[in-house]
Amino acid sequence: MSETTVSPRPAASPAGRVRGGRSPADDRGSGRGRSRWPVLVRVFGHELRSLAADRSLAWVAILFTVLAAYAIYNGAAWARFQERAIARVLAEDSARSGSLRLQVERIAQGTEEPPSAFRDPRRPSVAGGSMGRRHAVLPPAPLAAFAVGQSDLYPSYVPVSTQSREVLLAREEIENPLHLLAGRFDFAFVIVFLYPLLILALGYNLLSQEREEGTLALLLSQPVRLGTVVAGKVLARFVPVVGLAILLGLIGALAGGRLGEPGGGRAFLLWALVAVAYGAFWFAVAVAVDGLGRGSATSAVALAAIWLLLVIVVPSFLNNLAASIHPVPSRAEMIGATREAARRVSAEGSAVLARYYEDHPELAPRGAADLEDFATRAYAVQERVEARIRPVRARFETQMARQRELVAPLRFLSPALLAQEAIDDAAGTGEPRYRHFLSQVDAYHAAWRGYFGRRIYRQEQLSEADFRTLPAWRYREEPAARAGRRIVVSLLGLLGAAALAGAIGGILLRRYPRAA
Amino acid sequence: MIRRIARKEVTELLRDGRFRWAGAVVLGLLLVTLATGWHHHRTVHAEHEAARELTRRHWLEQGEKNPHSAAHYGIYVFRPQQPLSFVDRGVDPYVGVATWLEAHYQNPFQGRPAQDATALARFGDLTAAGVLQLLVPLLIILLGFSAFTAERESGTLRQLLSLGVRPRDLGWGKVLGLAGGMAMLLVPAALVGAAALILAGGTAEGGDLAARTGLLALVYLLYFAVFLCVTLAVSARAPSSRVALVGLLGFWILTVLVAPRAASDLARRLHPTPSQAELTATVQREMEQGVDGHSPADVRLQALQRATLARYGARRIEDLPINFAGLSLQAGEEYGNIVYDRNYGGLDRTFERQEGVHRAVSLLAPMLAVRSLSMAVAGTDGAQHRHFAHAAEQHRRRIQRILNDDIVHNSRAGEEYLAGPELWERIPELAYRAPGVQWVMGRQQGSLAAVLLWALLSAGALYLATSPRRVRA
Repeated sequence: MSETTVSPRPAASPAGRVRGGRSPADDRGSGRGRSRWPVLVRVFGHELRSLAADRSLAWVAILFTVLAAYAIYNGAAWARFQERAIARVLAEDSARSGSLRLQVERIAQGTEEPPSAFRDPRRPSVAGGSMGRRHAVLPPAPLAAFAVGQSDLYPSYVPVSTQSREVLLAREEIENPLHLLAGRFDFAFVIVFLYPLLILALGYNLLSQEREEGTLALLLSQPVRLGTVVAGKVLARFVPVVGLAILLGLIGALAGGRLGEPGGGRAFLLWALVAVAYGAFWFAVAVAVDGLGRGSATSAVALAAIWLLLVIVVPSFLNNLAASIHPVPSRAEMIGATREAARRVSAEGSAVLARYYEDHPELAPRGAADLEDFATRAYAVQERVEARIRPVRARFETQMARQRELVAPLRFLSPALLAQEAIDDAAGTGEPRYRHFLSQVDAYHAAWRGYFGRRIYRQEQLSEADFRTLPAWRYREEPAARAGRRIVVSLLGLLGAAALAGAIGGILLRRYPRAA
Repeated sequence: MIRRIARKEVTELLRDGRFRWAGAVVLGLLLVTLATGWHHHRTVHAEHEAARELTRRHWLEQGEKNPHSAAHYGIYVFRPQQPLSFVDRGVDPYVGVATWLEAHYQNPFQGRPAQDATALARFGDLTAAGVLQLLVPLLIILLGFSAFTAERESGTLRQLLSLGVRPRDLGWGKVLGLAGGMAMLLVPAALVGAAALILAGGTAEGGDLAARTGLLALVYLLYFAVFLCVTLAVSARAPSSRVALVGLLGFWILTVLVAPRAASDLARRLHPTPSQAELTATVQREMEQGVDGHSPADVRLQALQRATLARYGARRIEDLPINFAGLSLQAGEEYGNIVYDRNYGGLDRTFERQEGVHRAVSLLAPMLAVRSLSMAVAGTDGAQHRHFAHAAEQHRRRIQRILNDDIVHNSRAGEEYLAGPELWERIPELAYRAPGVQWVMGRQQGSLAAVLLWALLSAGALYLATSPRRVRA
C-alpha cells in the first residue's frame, strides 16, 4: 500500500524541523518557506507513484469513467428525445396553419364551401382555438445532456390557443411516474452523489493508514511537516480525480457538438468550476475527519454518515420543512373553485356578453351584436371564469414563492443541493429556466388572446392576410448574467463550505496524534 | 450457546455510543416521517372527500340543459388515498390527483403534487419507507461490518474458537444479537404505525388492510435479514474491517442509489414511450382517418346513417322514431374508445414492461424489489394508479352511454331538448373499489420471489462464510 517514505534533503536550516502543526501557507513570503515547496512536490509525486502502484486510483478512474460515460449517454439521449418532439410540434404547427390559410383562400375564391361554424377557419374562435393552436417551445440548452434536472417534470412545449391556461398546461410530457420518482442516471447525479463517494474512498485514510501501519512516525521523523504531507497527499488525489471529472465532462460536451453555440462555453466553464469547488469541499471534509485521529474504519463510518446527511437527509428534510411551513393549497380545491366559478358565470350566459359590450363598446361588432353567438358567448364566459379563479391560482404562486424564499438561504446547509442547482442551471434544466419559459408562455398566450379575443368580440371574419400577422413565438433565453449569478452564488457557497471544512481540518491537524 | 452470544452482542450494542446515537437518529426520523406522512394522508383525504362532494353537487344542480352539453360539463373524479399510503407515498407525488370525465376525450390526470413543490423534492421524499429502505440497511452495515473482523483484529476470535465455540454458532448468535438491537428501534416505530392505522379505522376492508400491513412488515423484515446476513458474511470473510466496510458501503450504494436510476434509463431504452406530441398526433389522426387510416369520420357517419335508415325502414333522418344525433354521438364515443384503448392501453402496457425491467434489475439490487413491493402493498404504485385510471375511464364511458341513450329515446331531431335533475341523478357516482391484496400480490410475484431469493442466498452465504474450515483466527 502507499507507504510514504519521503526523503527530503537533510535539514540544514531551522525550517527543516518537524513542525507538523503549520501549513505551508503560513510561511509563504518569508525566506523559510522556500524550501517547503519542493517537499510538497516530492510528497505529491511520491503519492502519485504509490497510488499508481496501489491501483486503487486506477480502479476509481475506470469506475468513474464508465459511470460518467453511461450518464452522459443517457442525458444526450434525453436531450435528443426532446429536440425531436419539439421539431415535431413545430412541423405540425406550420402544416396546420398552412392548411387553414389555404382553406380560407379557397373559400374566398369560392372554390370551397365554408364548413360548419365550429370548423370555419375564418372565424377567430376557430383559428385561434385548438384547431389553430401553435406551440411555445423551450429548446434544450447547449449543455442539456449534463443534467435531466426538472426537464422531465416540466413541459418543453406548450400548445397555445385561446383556451384557458389550465387546458394548455394539462398535457404533460409522458413519463412513467416510477422514473420520475427514482430520477435519472445523468451526469449531474454522478457528480452530486457518486463523485463525493469516490473522493471519500480515496481520501478517508490519508493519515490514519500511515499511522496504523506505523509509517507516520517514521515519516515525521524526517524534516517534513504534517501539513505538507497532508497537502501533498490531497493534491495527489485531487488533481487526478477532479481533472478526470473535467476531462470527461469536456469529452461529453464536445461529443454533444453544441459547445460552440452561444453560452455553451460559458456554461461549461461554470460547470467545471462547480465540479472543482464541490470536489474541494469533499476533500476538505475527508481531511477534517482524518484530522480527528481515529482509525480508518471509524473515519470511513463518519464520512459515510456526513455524506448521507448532506446529500440525502438535509435536502429531503428541507423539502418537507418548506412544504409544511408554507403548504400549497390543494389542487382538488382549485378544481372545485374553478367549477363553482364556471357554474355561476355560465348560468348568466348572454348577460355576461352583453355586459362585456357595455364595458367595451369599442369591441362591439359593427352591425348589431349577436348575443346568442355561441363562440362569442363562450369566450366571454371563459374570460369571466378566469378572472374569478385568478386569486385561487395566485395563492398557489405565492405559496410556491414563499417556499422558494424559505429554501434559498437554507440550501447553503447542503453543498449537494448547491451543486445540483448550479449544474441544473448550467445545463439549462433547472427550475428557474422553466419559470422563465412559463412566464414567456403566459405573455405569448396573452398576446394570442389579445389578437383573437378582439376579433371574437367584434364577430369579425379573418382573411388570408390575417394569417400572416398572427403573433409568433420566439423564445428569448434567460439573460446569461442572471443564470450566471445564480451559479456564482452557489459556487461561493461551495467554496465557503470547502474553506470551513479545510479550516477545521487545519486546526485538527495541529493536534494530530503522531504515534500509532 | 447461540443465545448467549446474542445476549452478549445486544449488551455490547447497548453500551456502544455509536449505536445509541445512530439508533436514536433513525428512530427519530422514522417517527417524524410516520407523523408527517399521517398528517399528509389525513389532509389530502379530507380535501379529496370535500372536492368529491362539491363536484357531485355541481353535477346534480347544473339545471336544465341538453344531455350532451351536460356531458361536456362532465364530472371530476379524485384519486382516493389508500390507508397505508402514509408509510409509503410511492408514485403519488408524480401522478395527478384528479381527472375530468368529459364527452369525447379521455383526459389525463392533472395536478401532480411534485409540480407544486420545490426542486428539492427530487432528492427524494422523506417518508417512513425511505427511512426503512435507505437508512436502516445502512445502520445495519455500520453496526455489523466489524462483527468478525474486529474480533479477529483484537485477537478475541482466536480465544473464542480455542474455547470450542463453533463459528456458525457465533455467526447466528451475532445475527440474532444485531437483529435484537434493530428490533429495539423498529418495534416501537411499527407499534406507532399500527396505532395510527387503528386510529384511522372505519375502512371497510379490515381484513385486506390487515393482510397488507402483515405483508409490509414481512417484506421489510426479509429486506433487513438480507442486509444482516450479507453484512455478517462479508465481515466473516473480509481480511480487515476496512475492506469489509468499503465493500459493504459499495453494495449499499449500488443497490439503493445506482440501481434504481440505472434501471429507469435502461427501461426507457428497452421500452421507449412516445412523446406527448407524438401520442396526441396519433390519437387525432386515428380519430379523423380511422384506425386503419382508410375510414374517415364522415364515411363512418354516412355508413351509420344508411344502416339506421335501413333498420327502421325510413328514408329520411327526420322520419326516424328516434333521434339520430344521439346514435351518432354514441358511435363517435365508441370509435374513440377503440382509439384510446389502442393508444393509452398501449402506453400502459409499455409502462408495465418498463416496470418489468425494474423487477429484473432487482435480482442485482434487492432494494428495487422491496420498493416495488412496499408501494404495491401500500396501494401507491403505478399499477394501482392505472387501475383507478381505468375505472375512471370506464365510468366516463358509462356516463356517455346513459346520456346519449337519453338523447336517442327522449328527443327528436331538430327540436330543442333539455333534460333535468332526474337524468343527472341517474348518473351514479364512481363507486371505486381499490384492488384487493390478492390482485396486488398477483402482480408482485416476481418481486416477492426476488426478495425471497435474496434472503435465501444471503443466509446461504453467511452459512458458507462461517463454515469451520473457512473461519480463521
